[in-house]
Amino acid sequence: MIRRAWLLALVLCSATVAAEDIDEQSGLIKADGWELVRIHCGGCHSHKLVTGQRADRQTWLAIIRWMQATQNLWQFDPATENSILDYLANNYPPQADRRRPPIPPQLMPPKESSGSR
Amino acid sequence: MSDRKGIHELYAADAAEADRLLWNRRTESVSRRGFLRGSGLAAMTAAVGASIPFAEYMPGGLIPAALAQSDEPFVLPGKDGLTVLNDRPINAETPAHMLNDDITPASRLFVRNNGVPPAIENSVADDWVFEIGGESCGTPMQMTVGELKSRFRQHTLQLQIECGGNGRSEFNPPARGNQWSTGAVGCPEWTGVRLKDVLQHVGVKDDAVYVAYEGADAHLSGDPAKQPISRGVPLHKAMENESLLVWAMNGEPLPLLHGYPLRMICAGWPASVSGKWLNKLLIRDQVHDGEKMTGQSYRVPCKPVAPGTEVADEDMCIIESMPVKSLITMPKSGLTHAQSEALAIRGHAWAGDDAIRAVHTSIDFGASWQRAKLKKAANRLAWQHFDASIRFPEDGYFEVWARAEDAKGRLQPMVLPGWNPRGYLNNACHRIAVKVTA
Repeated sequence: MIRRAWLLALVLCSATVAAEDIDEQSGLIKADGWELVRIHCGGCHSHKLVTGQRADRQTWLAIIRWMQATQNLWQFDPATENSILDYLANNYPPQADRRRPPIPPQLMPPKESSGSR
Repeated sequence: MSDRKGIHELYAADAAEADRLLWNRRTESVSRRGFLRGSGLAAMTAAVGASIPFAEYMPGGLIPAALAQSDEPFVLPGKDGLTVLNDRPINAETPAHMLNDDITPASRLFVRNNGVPPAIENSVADDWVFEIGGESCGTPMQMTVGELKSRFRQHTLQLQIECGGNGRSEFNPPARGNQWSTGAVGCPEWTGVRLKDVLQHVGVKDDAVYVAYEGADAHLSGDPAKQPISRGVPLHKAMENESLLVWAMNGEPLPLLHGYPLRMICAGWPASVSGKWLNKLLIRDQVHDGEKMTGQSYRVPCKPVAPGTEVADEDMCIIESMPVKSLITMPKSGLTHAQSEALAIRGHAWAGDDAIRAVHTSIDFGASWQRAKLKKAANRLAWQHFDASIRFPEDGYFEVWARAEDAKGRLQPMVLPGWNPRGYLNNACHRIAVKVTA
């Protein structure tokens, strides 16, 4: 029974992926906020740089901050920035299908207290 | 984390049953007074960290206040810091750094139950009766533990047992079952008689193929017609000197959760072949077809498959010897360490039916390996201890990896071994994280 549920979940997942609306020109997943990404990101670089990337929200923000600091990306108003981050974090999240996961958080050394990175 | 059960949840479901499962405490029906004796009292005492002078007046079903204070993921009483993965059936594993003892104490041995442990009086011991039978049994008979003790030569051996699914949590796509990390293994010292002495006593017919057990545990559904598990081993494994029927662990009667008053131990194979609460021994003329012998249980694809592949039952083969493996048990992963000091590490290595030939460690993600000091096994099928002194070339983030090699030259993989539908046999090398400071 559990196995059947799991299979069903797999089928549903792949169905969602298959049914995802992809913008033919950019290759971006057409979900809330996709046009903002098309406009703000596609001006300088291929959208493949977005669709080929997987990251959590914090890392997506770090990528944006780096482009703003070094690559002439303009500043966003907070609402736009939020929408872009929502879109990226939801549609291009980290993938869990690694061959081996990292050492789990509870077995990692304490994080640096000062921001020395 | 969300599937770890708290003690409250266990007690909320059925307080009297929780009492029985955790402490072997029975509630007297008229006075509602809980009867707590022997190992159960010792377990509760250890769990609350103090003696309980008025234990006999403690009502049945009452959670000791010292434990009730906490909503933390609950650790099994009498089990020193084990992580409970499941409370029905009870399954709990030991964090790597708590497995540092050469001989695993009862308090630190993982618990793997498929059903509900039977209610067995602490006093039954030598009077426990079990049957010996099956198609290929020469003279079917009944025997007591007392008769085992008096009729056959007794042996005491350190023997490692490991759940076939130990390490399952790392597989992807995820495999169903208890999500063990690294702690479903241990190497206690067992006392009993050789299975082969008992088999020869009753007579083994020429057509014998398999030796199997039935236990007194109950199916989770409560259906008395169903058995939770009944597995076994081919005759050649049963006839090995290290395959035992045991009544004692580390010099004490078996704890209830580990099969009191009698269990089988066939070390080096999935621990599910080492049946608990043994009440029937069967000499079969065919590969045993009991519960969890067939289908996909304790089986892996006969031929390797890509991750996520659905495999038909007839293409699944029974797991026999477990693969080569090791665990760093000291220090605990996640430490901060000064670069000026050497780091002492310690651990154990084991290899199913085989011995360990070498253990190496790496601090550069497997780019180079250094040989660790390895001790000989106390006896065949005991785990072997290794230690090493490690110096770090600079400060920063390091991982110490350990990789064992068995007598046939087989090594632990650094990534996950072959994916299989039920997530068995993960023997990827163990890693601990170290922050080295200047």
